[in-house]
Amino acid sequence: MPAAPVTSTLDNGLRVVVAPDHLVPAVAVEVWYDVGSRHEEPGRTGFAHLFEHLMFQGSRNVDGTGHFAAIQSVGGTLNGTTSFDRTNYFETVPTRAFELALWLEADRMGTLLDALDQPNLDNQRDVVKNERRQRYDNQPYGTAWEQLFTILFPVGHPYHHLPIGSMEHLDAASLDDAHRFFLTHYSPHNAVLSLAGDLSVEEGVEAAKRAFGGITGNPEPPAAPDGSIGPRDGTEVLSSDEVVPAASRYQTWRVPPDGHADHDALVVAFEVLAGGGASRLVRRAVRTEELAEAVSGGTFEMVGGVDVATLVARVRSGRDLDELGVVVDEEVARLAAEPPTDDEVVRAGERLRRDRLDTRATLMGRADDHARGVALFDDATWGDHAGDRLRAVTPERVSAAAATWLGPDHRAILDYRNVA
Amino acid sequence: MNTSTTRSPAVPDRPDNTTAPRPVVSAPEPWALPAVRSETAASGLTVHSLDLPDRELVAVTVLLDAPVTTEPAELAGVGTITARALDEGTAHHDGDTFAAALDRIGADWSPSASFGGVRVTVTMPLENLAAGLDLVAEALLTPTFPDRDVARLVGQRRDRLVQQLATPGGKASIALRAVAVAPDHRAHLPSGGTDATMAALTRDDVVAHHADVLLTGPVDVVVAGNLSHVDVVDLVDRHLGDLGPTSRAATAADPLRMVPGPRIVVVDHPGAVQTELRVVRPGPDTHARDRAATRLVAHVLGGPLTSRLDAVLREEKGYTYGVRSSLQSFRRGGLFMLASGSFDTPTTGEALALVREHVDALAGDGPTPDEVAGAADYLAGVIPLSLETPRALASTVAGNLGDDLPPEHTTVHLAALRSALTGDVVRAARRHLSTDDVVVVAVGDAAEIEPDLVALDWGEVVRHEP
Repeated sequence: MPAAPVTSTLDNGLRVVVAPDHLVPAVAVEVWYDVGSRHEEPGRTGFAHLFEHLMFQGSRNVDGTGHFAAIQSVGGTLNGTTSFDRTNYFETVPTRAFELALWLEADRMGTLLDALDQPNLDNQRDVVKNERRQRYDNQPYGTAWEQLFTILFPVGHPYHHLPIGSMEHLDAASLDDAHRFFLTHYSPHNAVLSLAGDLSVEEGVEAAKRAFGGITGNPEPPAAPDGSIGPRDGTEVLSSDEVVPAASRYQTWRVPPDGHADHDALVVAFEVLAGGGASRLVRRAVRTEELAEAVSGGTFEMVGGVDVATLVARVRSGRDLDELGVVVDEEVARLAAEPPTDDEVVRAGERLRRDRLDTRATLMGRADDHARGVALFDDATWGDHAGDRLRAVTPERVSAAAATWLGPDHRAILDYRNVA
Repeated sequence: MNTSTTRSPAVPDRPDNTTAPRPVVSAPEPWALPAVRSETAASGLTVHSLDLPDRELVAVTVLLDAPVTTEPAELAGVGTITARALDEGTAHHDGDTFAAALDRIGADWSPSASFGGVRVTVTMPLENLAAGLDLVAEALLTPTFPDRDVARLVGQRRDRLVQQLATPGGKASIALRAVAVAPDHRAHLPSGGTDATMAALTRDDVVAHHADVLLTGPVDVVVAGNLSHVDVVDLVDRHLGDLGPTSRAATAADPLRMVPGPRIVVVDHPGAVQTELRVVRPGPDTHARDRAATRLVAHVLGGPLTSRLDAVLREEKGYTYGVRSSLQSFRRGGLFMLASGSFDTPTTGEALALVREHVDALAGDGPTPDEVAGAADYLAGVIPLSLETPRALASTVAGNLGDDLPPEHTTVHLAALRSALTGDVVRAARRHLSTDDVVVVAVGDAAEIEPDLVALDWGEVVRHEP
């Protein structure tokens, strides 16, 4: 078991979490900003993600591709991602270069606007539009979640749209939007710096002070919008006319977010239903009745007052989507009606424990996990303690949570029936 | 629900922030793969162990000398189905209870077949190593291959092929092999087989492949984890020793043979908003003396973001989310993927012209000393970073063995990357970067892109339907 992470706060509000681990001579660095697509203004969907791209276009002391070039030149890896709830930037570098990674992160946190101009924005807008084409518009089922979230959440809800946003809104994004977005959200008060690897807590904190100490920023970043909302009232079914290789059903429910006791029970419920080869749906729908080519399910791990649970089932060729749908519905209903066996819950616990071991088997996995814990739960060990919370889930709690949250009348469903 | 205040009403401009001076980074230390201890067990198994202190997970990879080149062409994919069917029924479990047994010990299970052989990799918490080896032994030595489960796996494989062919990337990968690799080479077909070979496959074929190929040849077992208190050879031999005896010689490689271009192969994907492009020619394999130098060339040409191709196609033009160059090896013989990426449909022709121009330019002048140094620093750094987990290390060692290389070859390769001279890399660029014999695969809206592709005057433009 690796050493526990230690969290402190700099004078400028930046929270710093350091987890020493000397197994490999490297340090993982993550900066987590508490801004994601749920914070976007009306008419500006996709902006948080477009802005993430702009963060790689240089800052006062770093030229256009200088951030990438600097990390690559020391043999490091890097990237950034934008989700519903947050934007994160990360590097894994040899120990000798971890201060360089901090310096690069600090330069853009402090001085991005010095380098941001219209040609950068226009170029990255084109890149992001091609990202959207590549990952969503030009893939079978690529827009499934986007379509589902428009009916799962009402207009105006922070999760009504996906982080990728719409082409129209990407076109509308202006340099002025980018300036305001940066000044509003990209502040040390709104960020967590997480370090994991070959350094001591003192080294990490001192280096953070040197790099980030001079940065000020919006001392009162806006609170995240409150997305609290109960289960959907009534089920809505969308039917896609997209031509697809196999009929499929994507179904979703609104469920409580991570941190709620029922969320833990639902995580176990989805292991029982669709976690691996011995789960109920794989056994019955894939292996025994051979109705499905694949079944998967789980939660998105969103935290803005609500999370999304999903089950996706794709039919075997020659089989019927409605017949598969009945089997899926029966298994969800059965779990809600009677508790799973002790053995099922034990196996689910072992699978989830294994997931934790995978997460913390890499420095980046740990840095990200600690950043999430500090940013969302004010506790760097939130993830490390997930196993305790999940092990406390009883079979009765699993069925009670399924009965409360996974009802047949609370769903948003998207069917694909137009098979090539 | 309240979405009215997503930002403060008045955000002050930021005062002039001071930033610290840019840190100076010291020179890199030499790197080596963790020591690999290779021993022959009494049974004949070759056991390779990597002791990784303090790791919580342990990885075991069993590598059987059953490469896809042993599969008859009409049964291509039999190795993949055989590997996947190993856990569908054994002397002590049916498929359901085997999966449950894996869950109980927190183990994952991943079977595969490639040019290096059939592999089964299992990783689990260290305390469950012996239990995991029991399950590996059961699956490899006593599979029952139930008729119905074999048929189901074949059906699922056929369905997944349909899924793969519905994605631009999957379609491009399958088409590329079909049009660029000689028809009589196994790499002409996907490793997992085609719809026709799957339709022909029976349980008897699987049983025979297991008995005649998987169980008859040399076996390597790679174990990576915290092994300081484990007698690895003894443990492996006790569980898997029955796999040790061999009744035939090791298989020989069948070097890759390609059909040279230049030609452009269009795969129609009506209505596609992007074109998926692949530009390929022969390349050095992992044995080649100039493999490291050529890998540096590939990074300069199409490494992430700072490469020559991304600089123009992504960062200047915005035609793509990204374009990559890479080397692929097939045990012996390889191919050089000069460019791979998705491009906005209207920019397809111009994007290809730019790829050609930049490949030719790099072939002519070679990379600069700064580019070579940058590529070496990058690759020599990120390769060790990618080998953080027991599973990644076991997989790398098994990959080396599958290519008939020493298990610790990665250390040698890394040193070659670090020590490559600019002259070597310039020569590798001249030798391996040519646009005269490339095969281009373009998966996109044929009616939209074909006129532009013809106008490139880059070999014949033909249609292909995978």
